[in-house]
Amino acid sequence: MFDNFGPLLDGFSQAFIFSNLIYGFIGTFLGTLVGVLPGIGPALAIGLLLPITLTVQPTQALIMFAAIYYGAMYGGSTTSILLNTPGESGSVITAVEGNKMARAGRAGAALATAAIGSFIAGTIATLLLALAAPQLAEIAITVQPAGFLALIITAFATVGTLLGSSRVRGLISLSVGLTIGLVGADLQSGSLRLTFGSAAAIDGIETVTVIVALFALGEVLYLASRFKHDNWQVIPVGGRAMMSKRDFKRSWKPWLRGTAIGFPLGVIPAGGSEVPTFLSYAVEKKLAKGAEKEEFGKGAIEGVAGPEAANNANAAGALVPLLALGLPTSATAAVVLVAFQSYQIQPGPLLFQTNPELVWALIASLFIGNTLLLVLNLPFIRFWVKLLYIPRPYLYAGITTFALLGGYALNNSIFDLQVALAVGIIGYLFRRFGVPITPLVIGAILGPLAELYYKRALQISQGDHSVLFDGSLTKSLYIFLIFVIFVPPIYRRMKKGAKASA
Amino acid sequence: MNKVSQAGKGELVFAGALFLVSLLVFWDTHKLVLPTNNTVVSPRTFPYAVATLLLITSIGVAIEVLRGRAGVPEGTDRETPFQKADLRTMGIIVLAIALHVFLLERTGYIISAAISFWGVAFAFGAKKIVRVGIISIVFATLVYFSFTNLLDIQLPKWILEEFISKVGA
Repeated sequence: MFDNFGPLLDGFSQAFIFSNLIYGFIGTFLGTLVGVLPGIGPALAIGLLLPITLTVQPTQALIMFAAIYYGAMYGGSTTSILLNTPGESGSVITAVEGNKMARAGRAGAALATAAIGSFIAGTIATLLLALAAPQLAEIAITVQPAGFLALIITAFATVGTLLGSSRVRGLISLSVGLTIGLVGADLQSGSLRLTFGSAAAIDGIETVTVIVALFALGEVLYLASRFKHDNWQVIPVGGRAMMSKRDFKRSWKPWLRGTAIGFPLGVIPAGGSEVPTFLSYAVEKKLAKGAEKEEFGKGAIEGVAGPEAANNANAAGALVPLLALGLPTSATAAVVLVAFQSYQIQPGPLLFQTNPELVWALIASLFIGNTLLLVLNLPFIRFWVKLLYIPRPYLYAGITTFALLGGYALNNSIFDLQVALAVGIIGYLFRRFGVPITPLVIGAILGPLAELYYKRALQISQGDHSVLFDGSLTKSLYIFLIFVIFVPPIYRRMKKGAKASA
Repeated sequence: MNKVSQAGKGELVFAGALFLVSLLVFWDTHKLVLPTNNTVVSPRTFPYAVATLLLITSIGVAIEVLRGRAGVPEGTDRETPFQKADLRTMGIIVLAIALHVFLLERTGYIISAAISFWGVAFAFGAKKIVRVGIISIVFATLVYFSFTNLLDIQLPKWILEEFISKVGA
């Protein structure tokens, strides 16, 4: 278990080189800056900042991404506490309870418990990541194409059915993503699919463009569609971002419980941070007693501490399958994957053998980025809060400008921008009709990979389909899949029945 | 059909459009030029599977809506009163982005970015049009300058950009 210790120390010595620390610092700063802006979640923040790293060396760029990753999440929680906007799904719960706390004049305590909780959860979860990812990678090396196909299909099913208001909407989102992934030349045969005579479409559709357009342009259009109805109110932070002894006593257990819930749910494909944050909130509400229970719904500190820790631990957990298997399980992990690929780095079981120094530098910078965040952000909270007062016309105009710049700069291609506009409109429609976006992103990225593994598996078996169910891994995954698909509806029906008879 | 709300009608059109997309994928896959060398798996297999999934789910969404379970945006629920989308504001933004796409490689980055910035700001109710215009140009110039000079990322040039890079040098 402690075999990883040496490489991790090497990683730290890499990350601690002065110039690399500077990149970590810049990443933390930019990540928080962009993450604080209303309507920008971590996935979009990384997507928007991708062009900045185009000309940076791979190690430095990864250090920056690690810092941006945590920075954007930290910034997002600040926004949801002080400004009740339904932004990315992981902060929805923070917005509920944290915003109530802020309204009750306890903004400082809410910000502090979120920040310290994020730090603790992030540190523990990164440690678990450092322990788990190499082990998993070692096992994953033996996994056959059929096993990878089963993993991807499981990810599709869980992401597609667990997110959003209804399962069919999750699945339609997945289907649209898979369709987007089809565009271009087939990897093996070279047959052109869905290109309709366009030469630019042969290379396929750039995933980063899809992500940025969905989250940025889709959100801007959605806000535009209802902008006459929405009112924003930033709640001022009275006093400093600090916690009293009592707050601390009430927070530390939720932090640890949130971490325990968030990390494992990040490792398995549960579709991002929505499920773990809700779960953590439910647990804290259940465990609260007396006067503290009364506070739930009116601004209970446990309701901020737990979900916020769960959110961060979940983000680190999602890096385990990403690094060890090359499979993203959330939109944010998907952007990180694309960022890796833009440096010709392919995450997956082989990464720990081919580029160990890179992985460990990344993991070390996650620790450092996390610590920098705590040190830099709480004292400077007033500066970040000022960002919330940017007039809305300029804010959205700026977001649009950077989204378009990012869409173009990756390949210097007008075609990418045309795609961005179209995808932006799709993003609006999804938002409007309650269709979750993450399944689309996962489908667009993993669809081509699923086809590749499918073909490889059948090539090995000379076209015999029974190979798809060979081995204990594939069998147990498909059994798990059947559970995921059929248990929730039966459970729901039973609950309904119980209610009716009561 | 009476219980299909105003928003539900929109969603039916949305599901219908995706239904058509699935037919389009079927058609495109059907007329796909197959490679001469024999592959174990045809490049048609996967697209057919995707098209089938899209076909089924688009019908599924339509059924949901017809049963009175229209989708609502995250953060709201079915009790939230229906609000008509502000098509004018949205239209201006789409137009601004489209103009950006059209102009970018014709009149350079600064002009096209300034126009889209201005358009979006105007759509979101920025009042002082001239001041917003000046801010747009300054902002676009700053973005251009920092990306090309500091980050070494090339953006489309025209007369304005040539002038700036000469002054900058």
